[in-house]
Amino acid sequence: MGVSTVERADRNSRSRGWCMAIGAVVLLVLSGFSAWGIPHGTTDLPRAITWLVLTLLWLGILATGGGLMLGRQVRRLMNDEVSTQNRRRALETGFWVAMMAAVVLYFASLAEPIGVRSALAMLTELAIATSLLRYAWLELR
Amino acid sequence: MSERLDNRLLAARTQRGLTQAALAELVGVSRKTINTVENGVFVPSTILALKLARALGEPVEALFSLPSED
Repeated sequence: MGVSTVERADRNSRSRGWCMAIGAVVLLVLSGFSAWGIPHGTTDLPRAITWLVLTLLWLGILATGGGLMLGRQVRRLMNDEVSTQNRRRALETGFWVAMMAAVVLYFASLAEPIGVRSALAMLTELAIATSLLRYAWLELR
Repeated sequence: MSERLDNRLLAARTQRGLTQAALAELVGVSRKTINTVENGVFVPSTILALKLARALGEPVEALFSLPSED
């Protein structure tokens, strides 16, 4: 007997949760590099493009729930009421982390100048990473 | 959501010999949704509550109720 749609959706939801948890850790590491790794005034186009692609990719996954290649039926089950609520809560967490990080950076820049790109990269990465972590935790618990 | 909603979904489901996956299939949601509703972790929308009631052949008020106030 084949695997039912519900079982496939369950399995893919768990994989998505783990992918998000791993993605969050990677983003947090990148956030550390953004804090100290971008010298003020330098232009590194390949790095900027990689950052943009990764950021848009994770934002897209957070906005839609991902799994675009899994078929409509499986995707509908993976993004049902519980998952949608989890995603909403995760985005809410990301928003508050971004606000708090912005306040911290504002005051930190009084003590030591911080480049705009470094600050924006840190904010974005922290907000996305915490959203992903919260979503993963809510989905996998 | 901090609001609570009591339910007897587990009893109604097992009474009909359905697994969580089978009920999920009938209603068109994930197994996790059935599980979280049964455990009171997730308060379902009106539409989902009505779908669950229809799938189990029970009136919605027999499945879900507000907790007693005492």
